[in-house]
Amino acid sequence: MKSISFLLIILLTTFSPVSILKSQNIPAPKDLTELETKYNDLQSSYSSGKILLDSLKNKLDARVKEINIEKSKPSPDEDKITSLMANSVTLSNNIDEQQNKINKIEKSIASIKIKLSEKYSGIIDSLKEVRKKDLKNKEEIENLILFYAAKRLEVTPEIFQLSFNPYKILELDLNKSKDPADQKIYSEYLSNALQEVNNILSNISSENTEISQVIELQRKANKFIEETELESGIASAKLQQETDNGEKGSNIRNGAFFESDNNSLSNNAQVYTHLLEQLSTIKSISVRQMPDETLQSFEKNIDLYSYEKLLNEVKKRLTDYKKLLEQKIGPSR
Amino acid sequence: MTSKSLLLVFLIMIFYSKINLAQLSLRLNLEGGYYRSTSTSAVESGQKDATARIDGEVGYKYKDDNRFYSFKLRARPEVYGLQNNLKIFKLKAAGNYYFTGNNITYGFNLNGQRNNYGGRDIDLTFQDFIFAFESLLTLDNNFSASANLGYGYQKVSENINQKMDLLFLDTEIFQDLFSNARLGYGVYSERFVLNGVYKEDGVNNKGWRVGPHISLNYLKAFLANFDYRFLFHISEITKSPSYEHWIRLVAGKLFSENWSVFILTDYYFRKYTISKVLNNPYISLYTPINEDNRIYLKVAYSLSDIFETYIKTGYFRENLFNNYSFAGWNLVAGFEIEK
Repeated sequence: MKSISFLLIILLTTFSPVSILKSQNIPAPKDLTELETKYNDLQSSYSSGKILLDSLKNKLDARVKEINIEKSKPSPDEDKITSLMANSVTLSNNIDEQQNKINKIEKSIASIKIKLSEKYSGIIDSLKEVRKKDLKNKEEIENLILFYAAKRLEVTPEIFQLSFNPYKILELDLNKSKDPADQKIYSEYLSNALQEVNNILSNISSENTEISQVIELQRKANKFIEETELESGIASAKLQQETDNGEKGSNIRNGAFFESDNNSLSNNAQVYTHLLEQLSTIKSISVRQMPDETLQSFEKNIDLYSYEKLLNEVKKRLTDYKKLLEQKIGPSR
Repeated sequence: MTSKSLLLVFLIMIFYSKINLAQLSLRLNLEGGYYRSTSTSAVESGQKDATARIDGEVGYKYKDDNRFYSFKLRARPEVYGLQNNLKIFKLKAAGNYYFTGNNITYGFNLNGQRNNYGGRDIDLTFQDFIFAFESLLTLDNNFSASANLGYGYQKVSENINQKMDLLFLDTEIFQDLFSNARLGYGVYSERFVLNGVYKEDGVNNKGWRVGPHISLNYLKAFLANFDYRFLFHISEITKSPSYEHWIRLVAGKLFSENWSVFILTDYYFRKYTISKVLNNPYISLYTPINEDNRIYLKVAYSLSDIFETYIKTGYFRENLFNNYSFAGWNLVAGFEIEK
């Protein structure tokens, strides 16, 4: 047993991916370990935060049940109901607070996942190059590629999308089923979908406000520079790209580096484009012509103006979809 | 001539494109206030008087899936002082045409400008024209590189004329430094030929301006841009050490939907060591316009999407030709209409 443990220690210390990378003259990204540690810490914060949130929700459910039971009594104890309701308000506030914390952690995790995925992709690409030349250690390099490919798979950003099929859900008809249990399930399903749409709309609205402010800030700054200097072509030829109100093709100075909640615009743009694709399956929403930008790939070259247009388009379509859902749920909701 | 040619090229361009009124833009600034000149040769030093400026611009922009082009014409008359005044008139025509792909943007830029300075002791005209090919390659989310190659022509007319041709190449790499901050660094190199200078002496001058530049841009709740350029100056009439520095700082913030504050600081310093004995070395030296020292603060209030009022104050020093300069402090109030 001791010898097996010893062998395992030897194996683990010699088969360190970083040491193999060094042996292949592939520099491991400097902040990779730091990012991985941060990612693991955030994951554990997320798990414990989620447990706390569930427990708070369970407590609130229990309070609501207690209130309903007390209310249903022939002579309800008003003091008890008041106390329970006050307690429920506190719990509800705690739930909101905890939900906000979790949302922030989720965003941070998503951001780190993107960064880690990029780092792993870089390592894999370098290893593939080495594999072509180093035929002696081909198998070892293959294993290393698999090792990092598995890691990349683990952190590949999840596509932010509606968790339900937006087309199928509109086919649900509450009146078709006469079974109250079925009706209740359908109703809950639609309400949850509506809640999800509302959450996404709320995120888009806050992001849109932020982007609009940044665009306005940059537009005014460029205007201020122009009106102050009336720039000359000769003296500031190298600077012309920053003095054109950010509307020219180049996006160096017009905020391509701007990050919204620590996510790069191109990553967010891909996510929103996917959301548009999901919604485009619904005819009543997709009759409107897609803006040019939404048809393009946003992999690398998006500017703030195109991003703002994309956000507005997603917002419009999601609002249309929300109306359809509300109509489906009806006034009884 | 150059401004007229530019205008013609872009009028043809606009004529053959689909005109859409939404793509036209108009802007008009009117401002007036008080100024006091400091050590200066263009007007009497220590002069305290009124100042006024009109700045108007008309522009046209067009954008589709893979190209973008624009044209603008701008005129700015300004006057310093009611008596013994200095009148400045600046006229500029500019246009560009770009093609955009997924990872690359490239195209050309045209600029023509004419500045007139007229007063009791000065009658000076600058004319310049520049044509540049620009390209930008975006390799991934946090790395891009640009290269601009261009030709420029400048003519300065006072009692004598100075003409200059130049070729320049500017390269820059951009990388994300930290969240919402981008670092740029590169090299600027320029070959210039001054001719027709001081014909009586037959003095011409040729040379190079070469050196690094760096920039840092931050954009989130506020904006902060920093640019620095250092150029070695090597020419037939200068000797080492000859160099120039240029620093720019711009910062701004929107305090609400209506209120905004911006500050701009430019600092330009050059040291040219003359190697030849010349009657008047200034006219044989490289003389770029717009290499000024200035610090300005602007507080603006938007009354609507198209109308804004503002107060602006600051110090300026324009380094003109043949050792002329114009410097002073001013405080102006103005409004802007933009559509």
